[in-house]
Amino acid sequence: MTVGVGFIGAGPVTQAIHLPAVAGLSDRLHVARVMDVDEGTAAAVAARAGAAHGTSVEELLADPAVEIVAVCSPHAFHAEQAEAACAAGKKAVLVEKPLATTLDDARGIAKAARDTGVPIVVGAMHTYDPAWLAAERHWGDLPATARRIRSRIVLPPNARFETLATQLHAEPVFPVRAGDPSDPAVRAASIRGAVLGLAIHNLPLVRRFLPRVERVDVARPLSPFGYVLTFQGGGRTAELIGYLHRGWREEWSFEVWGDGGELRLDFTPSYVRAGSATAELRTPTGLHTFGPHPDNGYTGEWQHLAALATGAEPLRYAASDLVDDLAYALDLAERAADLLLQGTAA
Amino acid sequence: MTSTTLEPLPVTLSGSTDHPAVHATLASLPKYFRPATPGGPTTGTVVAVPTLTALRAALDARPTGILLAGVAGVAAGGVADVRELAGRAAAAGVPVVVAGPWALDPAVAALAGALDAEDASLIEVTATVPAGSSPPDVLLDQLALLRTAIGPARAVEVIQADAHGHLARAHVGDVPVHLAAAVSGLGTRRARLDVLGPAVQWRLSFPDPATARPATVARTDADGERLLPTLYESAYRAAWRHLHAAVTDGATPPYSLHDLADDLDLLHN
Repeated sequence: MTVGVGFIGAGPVTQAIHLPAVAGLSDRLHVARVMDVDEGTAAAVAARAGAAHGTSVEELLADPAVEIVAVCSPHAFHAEQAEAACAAGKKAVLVEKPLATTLDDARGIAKAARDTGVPIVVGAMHTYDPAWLAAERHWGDLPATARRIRSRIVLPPNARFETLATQLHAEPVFPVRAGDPSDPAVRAASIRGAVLGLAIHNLPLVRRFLPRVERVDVARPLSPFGYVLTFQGGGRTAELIGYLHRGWREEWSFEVWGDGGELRLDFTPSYVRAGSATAELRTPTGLHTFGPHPDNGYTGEWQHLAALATGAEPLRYAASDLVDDLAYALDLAERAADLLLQGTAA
Repeated sequence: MTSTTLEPLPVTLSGSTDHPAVHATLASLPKYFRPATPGGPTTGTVVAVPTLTALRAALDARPTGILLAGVAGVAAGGVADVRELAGRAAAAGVPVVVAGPWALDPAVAALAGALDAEDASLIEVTATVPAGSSPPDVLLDQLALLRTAIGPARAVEVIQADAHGHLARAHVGDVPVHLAAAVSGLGTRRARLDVLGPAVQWRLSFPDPATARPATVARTDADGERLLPTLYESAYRAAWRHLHAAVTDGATPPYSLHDLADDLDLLHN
């Protein structure tokens, strides 16, 4: 008997990332129901998995075949739907990042999880990457002795990977970015979007090594999409580079330099099932390499969700941690935006 | 390449430049250089000096050329000192090559201006350096690399600097530049220069400059990625070649005292 999964939202991430990941764990999971506001999308995507479909969240939550709920809807709906899934007494809830759009909403989700005992998992896939987890088991006091952190996400358009991960039911439509790029308000909105849309993928990792942001020094939006962010806290310095270009080459790295060790991870791109990151941990005793493993962080998320649903393992990241991750991202985005509004950041 | 029919130039190694690694480098260029007579006058020899102070003293002895082995400590001094020395050297007709870990790497010279960053969205110059490195000195080395690979920076602003590294920003033309370095107690010195553009990206990776391990230079565009031929020569050996060319052929060094003064000016202003 495998555990049934219900998807709220059947967009590209559900189609290209989650459905193949769940299918790859067919010994323990199956897709029970797919909900989307577009009935045609819900029906088409559900049919691929042999699942029921509908346009109603309530109907999905009332379905006893749905034991794990995956909230993959637009960000603004995450809080309401995650809380409803907890109230419905599901065995586990996956909420795609960001957990919520406000800290109050995130706290509401955490409270619902606490009150109902339903475990919440945020789709911060790199925190479930087997190479990250292996490095974590060996890095000793690196979080305490870290001095410098560098996150670098340089990627081609998502479509390059989506089309190799699935055959989308319909091509996604993205809003056209508008506004004068020299306008501080436009730049502030741009950096806010870049932090919460791209940088956020690595921010839980950054927070492990720079837990409290005291000052953002540089916030520079890049054209056509990207950012340079530098910030400090607790005597540590972080630099975040993100850039989406029109080419094909990707580089998704995360580096830490500490007093007694150094860490570098090279992640595979999202969407495609290209395995885990490769982690290199350099310590006074030598260079230790972890990965690449066949499973990536998305599969890691679903393995954890399946184990939570069956009680096979405890929750890896407490709800309070997830709230703190979001608080970190929102704080960073606001500080960066404020700097641009002051006109002193770039 | 300069003529090899000339007699090798006698070399005087001053202070800390009298080091086995430098001897090994010179021994790999036997048609260009030979050791000067021990204890003999430096007049008429090429001289390697470790500091600006030693360079000033060396100029008085009328050498045929000078190699400044690095920029350690230079940032602590004044721009005027470097300009004055550059002027003195020029007036005396003594070419001066400023060596460094990356700027004179033969992979940079091989680009021959092909690295066009005009359409780039961002240039990154990042380095990992040994403990004890001075942030201003490392920044000077990074600015030197930027200058020889792409062009001179402008509007350099140091954001943060401490014993663990530094962050700075600048522009080359209208393109923003991110400069960073992290101090490593475990790894070797290394650097990267990335040019990120919407259609073309460049990646120059420099391994330990104490070895002849080659830099890798990759250009990525819609047709794929082109890796330029590797050259197993350190930037330091290349610096000696440039000095030979400057002395024997009057070639202009890729990175001179004037360039160093300009980069120092960027740091101080």
